[in-house]
This record gives sequence, structure tokens and C-alpha cells, in this order.
Amino acid sequence: MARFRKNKRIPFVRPIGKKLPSSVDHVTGDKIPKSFVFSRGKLPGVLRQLQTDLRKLMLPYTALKLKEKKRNNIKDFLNVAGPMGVTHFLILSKTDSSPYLRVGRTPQGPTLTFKIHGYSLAADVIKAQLRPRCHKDLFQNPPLIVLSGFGTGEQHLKLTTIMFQNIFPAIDINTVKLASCQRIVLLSYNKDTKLIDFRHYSIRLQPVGVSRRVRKFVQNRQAPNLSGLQDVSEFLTRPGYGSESEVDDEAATVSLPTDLGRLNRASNKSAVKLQEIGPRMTLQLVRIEEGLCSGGIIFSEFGDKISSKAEKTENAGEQSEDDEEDNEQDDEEGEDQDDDDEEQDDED
Amino acid sequence: MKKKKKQNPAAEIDSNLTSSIHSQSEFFDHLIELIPARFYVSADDDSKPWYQGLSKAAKASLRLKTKENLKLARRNRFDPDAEPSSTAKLVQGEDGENPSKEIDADDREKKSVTYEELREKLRRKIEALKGNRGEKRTDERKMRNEWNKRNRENDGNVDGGDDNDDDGDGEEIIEYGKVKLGDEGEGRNSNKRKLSKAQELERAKKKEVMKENPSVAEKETWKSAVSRAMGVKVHDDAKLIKGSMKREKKRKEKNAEKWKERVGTVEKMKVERQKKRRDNIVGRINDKKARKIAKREKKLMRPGFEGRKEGFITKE
Repeated sequence: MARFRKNKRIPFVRPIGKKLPSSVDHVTGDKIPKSFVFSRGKLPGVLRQLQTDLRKLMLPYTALKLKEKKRNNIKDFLNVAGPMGVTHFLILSKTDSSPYLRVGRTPQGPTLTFKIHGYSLAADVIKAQLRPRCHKDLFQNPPLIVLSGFGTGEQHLKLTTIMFQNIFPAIDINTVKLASCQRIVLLSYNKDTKLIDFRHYSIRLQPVGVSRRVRKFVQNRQAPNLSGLQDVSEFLTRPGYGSESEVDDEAATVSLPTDLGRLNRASNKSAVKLQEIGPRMTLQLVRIEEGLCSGGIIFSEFGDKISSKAEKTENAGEQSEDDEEDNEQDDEEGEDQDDDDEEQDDED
Repeated sequence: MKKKKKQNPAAEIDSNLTSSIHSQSEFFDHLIELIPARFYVSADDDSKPWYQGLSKAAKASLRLKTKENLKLARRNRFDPDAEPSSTAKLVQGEDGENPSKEIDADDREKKSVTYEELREKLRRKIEALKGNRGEKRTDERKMRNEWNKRNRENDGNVDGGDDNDDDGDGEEIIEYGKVKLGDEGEGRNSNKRKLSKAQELERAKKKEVMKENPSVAEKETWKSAVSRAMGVKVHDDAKLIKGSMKREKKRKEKNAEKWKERVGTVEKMKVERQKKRRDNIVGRINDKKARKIAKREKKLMRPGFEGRKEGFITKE
């Protein structure tokens, strides 16, 4: 018998009940910022993994399975971004010396270019932990963001803070639920080395002042084995070893306004525990451009050798990064040469 | 004898009476126990159970109170020492009579003393064991934490990792993500007026002129970059504004065209229909006339008759 192929084109039907993330926040009425994370040029496998980690980080307001083809350029992404309400692009690229991360605001917003000095993948971070924890709702809410050390008042730092603050949606204090703040992104600027540390943690609350046995008992709801004990009081007062991570300083404990789960009761002290998930990066702000990977350069870390060449296709982007490498190397070789280089630039 | 006889049956009747009364009262008590208490024990919330008319805070506090009361009631229900409450007791309790409580006071005191003692013992024991927790072990813990950190950072990232957590100088300024406080909604209305495109063009041109001055140019670029990063749409570029103006004009023209076309077709249709109507009316009148003539002529279509007399054949 001949096999019959199904020639019917079955239209794609979205399953009922699955809500698409909307463009406008129902609570605050603001537009929710969405992002695309993609790469320009061919990336090695490790960087592809970093790209997926970044995508997971930006959940839920990003395209997790964004497919990009070689012939797509930024204009194509822009055309799609408009109707979908995507506001930010995170672009990974690689040159001979190091990978770069560009963060830009879509319609014609500024682009910050970061050089990635070092990074760790999420899988490696988790493998290095003794007890990795990740529950399934972890990526259903957007993360909080905390920036430290950016307050020195310099213009480019201010722009960086504003940029990162606006990548994640705003929190309305009056209506936010404690259970929805489960992740946190930490950016810390080191003035001396001018490096930005990027970390991603998951937040866990543990009640303080409750012994470990009682806590485990309430958490797991398993009847404990009382066979060897004479009395329930023995179960409660048995001296267990204090846990290593018992935090004693008052700074890390908060008193919750509402109940969170079975363990953390309102107006009782709970300790905030952070456990690292997700990628770890060390970034250096290298350039700020006026347009989306185009436009004039407002700020440049390594001098203005690039300004004439940075005319605005991403090929030029790659090229200018290469030029910057050369510039950097020149800078690093000797400080005496800097003045000479600058003079030559002026002549050019 | 007579008296005795009288008394005996009287006594018997009395005892019979009392026993019967007792049994009947028991029966009635039993009946009452069958009725759920809420039908005859008045609850003191004449107010609506959904707390209508109260403020949000009051509602929340009342709800909390009911929760607490429920918990207390549950506790008392499961307390093995307390007597099982009955509806009779409830009614009695309402009236304020507590005759039986005094009897149990002594027992309760005795029991409470022993409970108190036990609790005290337990508490003392726990504290003693907890006692020195955290005093001597901070150094050990710090060292252990640092060691763990150093082990984890094996990605070649030498600096910048360890100094994150301590704000040593205390001058680190920490900023958080965007937080809506809810009081900014009122002040926004004044700035929301949208300028027309021509006005935007004027502004953009003025900005261009201002940008000749380098310091002003720098400030302007930073300002526009910051506001763009915040999501505000900055219309800087005169070319883009001109382009959008042109597009808008074209769109308007197209729409005007379409409207004219639509009006034209409507007119045409109207004219056509009117013409058709007139034709039909005229046709109807003619038909009528023709019918009448035919009717008239029908009468004269007798056999052997050639029709109406037209006139003489010969000329006069």
C-alpha cells in the first residue's frame, strides 16, 4: 500500500491559557522593556552558551528561542523589534582579542560597548556549588537589579546606570508580591580597575532563630524518626551543629511584611540568602555611541582614534573594535607613547 | 395511717414527677443539642460579614481578628484538658453565668503549675544549648567563606572578585532598579502635550544651530542619550522629522483621494438609481395606458368585425 502523505497544512493554534507577555504592564501602565539577545558573526561554542545564559537571565521578557541567520543584519532585527515592542538589544560579538557585549536601546538609542575581560558560564558556576538550587518558577519573574559603585557622578557611569535600570521592568512597591522577587542581578563598579562585575543570584528567605531540625521538619513535612528518643522535647532541643551559613549579623535579616510560604511569617525575622546562578562576567565600558551601533561616539575609553572610522555598519563595528585593540596595545605598551599617538591623531 | 397513705402516694407522685421531669428535661436538652447553635445563639456581628463600608485597613484587621479567633477556637476544641463545650454551655456563657468554672479552678491551677514548670525547663535547656552560638566562631567562619570564594573563582578572573562584598570605606553608593512609588502620576500631565511636527522641526533646527557651540553640543548629546536610555522619545534629527512629515502628508493625500472617490461613487449610484426609478415609473404609466386601449379594443373584436370605424373610405 502506498503511504499517503498528509498534504493538509495545519494552521498553528496557540494553546488556550498560555498568555503572551504583553507590552504594557497591567499594574503600572508603563511599557515593559523587552530585549533581544543575539550575536553578530560566528561565535565559538562557549560564547554561544554564554548567549543562552544571558537569554535565560533576561527571561521572561525576551525571546528565548530567537533564531538568527547569517544574512540578518541589525536592520532586520529593528524591523521586527518595532511591532513586537522590543526595546533593548544585547549583542555579543568576538574579535581576536576578546568578546564584546553591546547593549543598545532600540529605536535610535545609545549603545554601550563592553569588553568582556572574563566570564563564567552558568553551568560551571552551578557545578562548583555544593547544593545548587533552582526551582521551576525561578525564571518566571524578572530579576531585580542592584548597582554599586556607580555613583561617582561621571557622565558615562550615569548613563550606564540608567541603561541597566531600564532594561528590567519597574517594580510598583504597593502591589508587588514578595514571592515574585526571586532573582537579582548585581553590577559592581571598581573605580581603580574600571571593571564592572556582573553577577546573578537567586534569592531565598530563611527564618532566623528557628533551629535546623524544626525548620527541616516544617519544610519537608515528613514525620521525623522518633524511635530513639524518649520525649518530643529531646527532638526539639537536641544540640545540632550550627549551620555554617547561619548568618548572625543583623544587616542580612529583614522582617517581612507578609507571609512567604510556610516558613517565613510576617513580621518575623528572616535571613536573605543569595545563591549564585547564571553567568558571571567582568566587563569594561569601552565606548558609548549615540545611535544603535551607529552615530557619533560620545564616550570612548581609549582615545579618539576611532571616531573617523566608526561609520555605522557592523562590519565597521568589528573593524573599529580591532582598531581599538591596536589602540589598547599602544596604550599598554608605554605611557610616553600616548602623547605621541594623540598628536598624530590630531594631525590626521 | 391516712396521712402516711396520703404522704406516701404524694411522695411517690413527687418522685415520679421529679424523675419524669428530669427525663423530659434531658430529652429537651438532647433536642436542643441537635440544633446547630447558630440558630439560637446570637452572633454579635449584626454587621455584614463582609465588612461593608469599612476602610481597607479596618477590613484587614478584622479579618486578621477572625482568623485569630478561629485559631483560638480550634485550639480550645483540641485541648484535652478542657471540657467539651456544648451549646447549653454556650448559652450559659452568654448569660454570664459560670457556675462550673469555679469548681475546676483548683484543678486547673494545679495543672497549670506543672505545665509552666515544664515549659520553663524546656526554655532553659534550649537557651543553654544555644548559648554561645555565634560568639567564638566568627573568625573561623570568615576564613572558611574566603577560602570557599577563592576556590570558586577559577576562571582566571584575578581581581575584582573578592572585594565586592565589603563596603570597606562605606562610600559605595548603591542604586537599585526602577521603583514606582505612585506619587509621580499627578505631576506628569503638564508635560504630555504633543507638539505638532512642524513645531518639532523648528525645535530640531534650533538644536542644530545650538550644536555649533561645542560645549553645548556635548551637553545636548549627553542629555538626549540619557533621556533615550530612559525611554523618552527624543526628536533630534531634522531629516527624520522632515521624512515623517512628508510621509504624513502623503498619507493625508491618499486618504483625501479615497474620500473623494467614495463620494463620487455614492453620487453616481444615486444618479443611476434615480434614473432607473424614473424610467420604471414612466414605463408603468405607458403600460397602463396600453392596457386600457387593449381592453377597449377587446370589446370590439367580434367575429366578422374589422375594428373601429376609422372613417369613410372615400374622401369627402
